[in-house]
Amino acid sequence: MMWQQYNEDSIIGARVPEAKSALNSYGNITYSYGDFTAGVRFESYQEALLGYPKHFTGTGIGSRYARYNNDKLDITVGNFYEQFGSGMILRSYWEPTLGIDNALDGMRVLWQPYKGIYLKGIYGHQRYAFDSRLINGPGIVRGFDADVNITELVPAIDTTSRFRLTLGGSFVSKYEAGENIEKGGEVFALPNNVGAVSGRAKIEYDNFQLNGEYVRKINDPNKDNGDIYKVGEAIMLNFGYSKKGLGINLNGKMVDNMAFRSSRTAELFEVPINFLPALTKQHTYNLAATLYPYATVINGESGYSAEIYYTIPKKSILGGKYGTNISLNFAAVNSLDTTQLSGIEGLFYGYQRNSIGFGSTKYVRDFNLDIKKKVSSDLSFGLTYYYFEFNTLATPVTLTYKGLVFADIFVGEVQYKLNAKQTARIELQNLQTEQDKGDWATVVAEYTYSPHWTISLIDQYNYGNTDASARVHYLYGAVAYSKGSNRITVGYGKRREGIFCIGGVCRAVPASNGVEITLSSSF
Amino acid sequence: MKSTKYIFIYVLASLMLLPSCDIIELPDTASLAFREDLYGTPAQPPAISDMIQRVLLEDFTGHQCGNCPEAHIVAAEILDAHPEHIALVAIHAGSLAGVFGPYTSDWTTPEGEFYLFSQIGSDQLPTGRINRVGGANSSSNFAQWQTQVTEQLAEIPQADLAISTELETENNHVNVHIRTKYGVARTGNIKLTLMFAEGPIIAPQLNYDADPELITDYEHKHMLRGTGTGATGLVVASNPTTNQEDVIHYTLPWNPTWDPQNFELIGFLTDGESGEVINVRKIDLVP
Repeated sequence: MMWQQYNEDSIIGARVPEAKSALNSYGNITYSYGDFTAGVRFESYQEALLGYPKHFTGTGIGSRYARYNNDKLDITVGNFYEQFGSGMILRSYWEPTLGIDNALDGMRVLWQPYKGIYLKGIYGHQRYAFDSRLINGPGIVRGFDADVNITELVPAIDTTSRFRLTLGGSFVSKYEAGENIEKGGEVFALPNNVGAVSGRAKIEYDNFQLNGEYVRKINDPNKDNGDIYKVGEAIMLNFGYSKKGLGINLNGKMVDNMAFRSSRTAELFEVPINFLPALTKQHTYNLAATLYPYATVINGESGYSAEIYYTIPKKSILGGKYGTNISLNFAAVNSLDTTQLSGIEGLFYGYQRNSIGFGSTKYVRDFNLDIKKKVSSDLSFGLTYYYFEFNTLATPVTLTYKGLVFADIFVGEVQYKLNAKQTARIELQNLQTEQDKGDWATVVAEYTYSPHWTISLIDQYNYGNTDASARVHYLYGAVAYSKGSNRITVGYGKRREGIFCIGGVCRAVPASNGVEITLSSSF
Repeated sequence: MKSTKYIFIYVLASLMLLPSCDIIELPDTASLAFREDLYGTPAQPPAISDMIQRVLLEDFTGHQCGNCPEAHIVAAEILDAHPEHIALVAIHAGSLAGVFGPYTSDWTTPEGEFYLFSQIGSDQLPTGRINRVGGANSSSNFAQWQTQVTEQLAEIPQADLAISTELETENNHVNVHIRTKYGVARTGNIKLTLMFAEGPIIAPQLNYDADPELITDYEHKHMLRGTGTGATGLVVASNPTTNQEDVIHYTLPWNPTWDPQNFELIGFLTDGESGEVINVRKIDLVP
């Protein structure tokens, strides 16, 4: 449950809704008996928090299901969540803090006919909205997925070989009634059934791992792609190596016209069928995470990333008594390499892709270096540096600047254990840029009195804003109490307008000033 | 045995999913250019000496629409009164044109559905358009058609067109030669639409004035079967000047399953912005 009270604050642009406060709350009730499980989720939005996606209002049941599950067979009717492969062809999930819930409502069958073979079948509508009850979108989603773990399937390999192989494939189709559309004087028939196929493989040998997935979607004119009939494609490749103290990850990804929704007029968080993860690292420190977070450009992008983790061994000069953890990460994403088509082909297909490589427009460069060091049993510190080149036209995280933002971010963190029960932690962050809103500084101070209490204070200061009136301190304090699986947090202060992201999916959060109470509990 | 049953169920489920793809091909309007490589120098369309105002009457209908035959009668009476000046096309579209029970043939076309749903924005039949007066989104009840036709015929023609054709069955082509002439200067684009209309076609029709109401051998006339230029036509002139005259040649695909003796070709010029019909011409596909 999250309740928020709002105060007017013209300096930061915080507005007050008519109800002056808002409440988002959820309650899951699950009943299990042997192989049988059933559950409902009550939801209440009175009104929904400011900035929360539209289509959420009222109180009622937002999810209900019944499930039978034994060793081989798993059948669900009602609402369920599912993912095929990496999710690039199908992923339904619930992320209440973002306002995403594209649960499927229908039937799902999971079946393991033999050891090493895993089959899935799904059929249903997608959740579109909540208005005191669950409201599904107009389209129907059908899907089939198979995973074959060769290693499990062939016992001889399973017990003797260091080689492991898993193959998988999916087919997903959506149905939505439609007639024709008119573009530039031409009339084109709409495809009522849009299918997508994918194939994937994962190979492991000793410390090496290679996995990849390819997805192809047939003509799917929709609001995201400007009603073009071009085929959609996505490729993702990952190479990994790990051993004690060292990890290397190399990733490549190309996404071309892969917005896939069960309604062709939907947008933003509405009824997405698939999920396209971002290549950039998901940052956690405040300035890096909330000012310029990158999200996949679903209409098209090409990129790669590389990451190295290394632990300087204990008892070395640089490693000291506890070792030192270093991670180095770089990601680069550009537009697609395309040629715009003209005439009727331009109306119909939009463009053609020339290669899977980079196009001319830079979307993001994200370099970061993170060092974590435990000095003693009581003291540890961290140093992090980020360098961003961030195109706010590709990922529109700000309204105040259109173009490339060049930013350096420095973060220092110290944690000190005062005694067996008390810990203090301080973060100092500084962002320097000549674009957008200029320089920022953030201070985070946190005090924990184990096992129940945490007090935190955060101050974000936009000291480099060229508009002197916008050089504001966003001060926010909170007290949290935890016991078992129950936690309550009470906070008060200013929140700046920004972007809130989870897993590369982001939503805009308006500025606010007021009291917040968050309560989570399970029993 | 139990596993075989499960496999069968899953294979069946997979087969159910496989047809779930509608692949839409690029419409062939991109290649309408006259095929000189096949047919040599194109023939010249007839000359336009005196410009005459004509009227396009679009009768939206459906075989399950029991009130539509009454509109057919009104349209036929108007055509009989002005056989040379009216181009009549019966456009089967909407839910009442769907295939159901004894109505086993689908007479709808993507263009007709676009006209009814996207332009007029309605699923009610019967309805119609007279020269698309008021714009492509307008429509009128058949009780108003006679009055509107009379008004339109009285207008001074702003442009006219003449058409000739050759059917090339060997290659499944229709060569179309169009001459356009503008009586007054206009601003904006002028579009040309070419419609293929077929009749008679003997097929079931619901008629609330008949007993029994289902007429199994109803004579459908002037039925829209397709367009050669897309629903809203191709731009053939921009800002034409007074007395401007143009000649255009197209090679259109021809459906070999159609009987050309039963076809009319209807060509009409529309205002590129409003969609109103400027003038229309019809000819028998095979003279």
